[in-house]
Amino acid sequence: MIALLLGLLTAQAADWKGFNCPKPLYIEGTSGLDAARRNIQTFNRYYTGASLAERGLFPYVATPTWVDREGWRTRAVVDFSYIADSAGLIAMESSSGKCGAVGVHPMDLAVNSMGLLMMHQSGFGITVAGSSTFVGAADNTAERWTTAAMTLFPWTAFYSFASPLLPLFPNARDPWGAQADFLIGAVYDAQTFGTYRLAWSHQGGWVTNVSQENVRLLVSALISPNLDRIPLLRAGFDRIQSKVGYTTLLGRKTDFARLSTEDEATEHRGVILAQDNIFGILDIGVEPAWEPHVRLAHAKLGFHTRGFFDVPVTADPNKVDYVGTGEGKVEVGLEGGLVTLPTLPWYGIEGGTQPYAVLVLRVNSAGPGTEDWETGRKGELSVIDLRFAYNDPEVLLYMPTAQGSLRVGIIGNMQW
Amino acid sequence: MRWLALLALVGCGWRPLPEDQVCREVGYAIAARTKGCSGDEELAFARWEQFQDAYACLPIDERDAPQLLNCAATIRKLSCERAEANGDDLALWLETSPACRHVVEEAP
Repeated sequence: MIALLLGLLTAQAADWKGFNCPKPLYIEGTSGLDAARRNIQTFNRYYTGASLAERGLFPYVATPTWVDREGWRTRAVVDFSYIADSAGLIAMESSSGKCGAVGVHPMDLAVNSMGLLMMHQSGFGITVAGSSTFVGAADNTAERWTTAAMTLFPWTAFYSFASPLLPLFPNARDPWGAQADFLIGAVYDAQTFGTYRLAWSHQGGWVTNVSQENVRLLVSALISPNLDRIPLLRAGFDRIQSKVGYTTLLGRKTDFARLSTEDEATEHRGVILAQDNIFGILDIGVEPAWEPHVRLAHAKLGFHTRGFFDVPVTADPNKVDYVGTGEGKVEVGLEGGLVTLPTLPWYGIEGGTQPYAVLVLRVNSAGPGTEDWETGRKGELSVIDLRFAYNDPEVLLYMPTAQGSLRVGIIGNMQW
Repeated sequence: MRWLALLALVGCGWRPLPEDQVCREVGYAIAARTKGCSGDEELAFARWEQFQDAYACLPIDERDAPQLLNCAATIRKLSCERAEANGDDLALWLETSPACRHVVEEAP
């Protein structure tokens, strides 16, 4: 039954890229189409799949001292994003009323990832996650946003749940249909001696992550299935707390899409330098990069309300409890700056510097009574972000064709 | 309301094809095939720059664009043996498809 349902939905997903009068015909052999196809796969493999673990399941944020607790604690992460205008595809168009006219049609992406991490008091834990990526291309504003909300959100959520079965269905591997990935792994929290995570991502390979919370040391990598490449790597110090806020010094390497199976991927290599929460409100940062060529990959200036980081960082790892009021509070963060794209003519990208802007509306909440864990009064932590981003640097890093894109996302991180 | 306005701004569908896009696609195709076959990014970048310096875009009629895009499409499908044989001789790359002579000409 599930297989039948999956088959039907996959077929529908493949058709959904259609439009009015008749469907536009994407012209083969053009840079946008070629890069978009490869980028979708890369995006699904690295951004929605493996890096969900790094971004949502494995980081330090909101991690209480698991081993001081009896029984199990659970973290759930859900990330749904709609990226409008992620690439421009040359097509025989129809929406202008001139069937057959040639133009550039924007391609959109709907991406969803969701994961669960369950930790036992012994320090051992397990994690599972699923993700999916859908391609869409709407003809007008209303169609784009209604489809995103009414159709793609439930579809991608369903596909993420069903992702372990999707590789069995050939249509699901069609780059213009759905892309899916799932991840399963194990965690061991040795407290002072660090936390060790190893997971298997069906699309990406081995996800490894080692961190030491006291000194905020982090080494995180995605290693290809046959252990010959490291498409993603982050290593350094992540958000060291001091009187002047949080200091980050992280080197990172990210692969762009490969042009052929024999081809080596173009690499991004840079260093993230950031000082966040200065005076409780100000964030600054830069990312110098030297691959594919020397440039300032991005520079940021951000302001946020004073409670923006409160819930994740006030959980004291040396205490059993974190005390919350149980009330949700809305915090606002606004970040802007410049993002520099590398020159990659083989993807049809000529590079250049563009402005970017990110607005985050964050609801932080912490449940009361967590000190009474033994009597069953479980506390909750949740951070829910509503994110609007124009030229999101994180999206452009994985998908450089997304110049001028708008990302609207809901990211929830809940723990109980 | 402001955000709704922004969403509306970026929510456009169709855009006209930039005037020189068909021509640019030829340079992208040479760079892509070079990198795809050799894995050499410096070489791919050098050939793209060489193409920009040595060739000029011809004006084209939008209605002819689908046929003229065949120049770039054919280059992207070249076998690696043929791409390697073409080497730095861009004229050989452009002989791949008859459409190419309607897209670019040697720069004066």
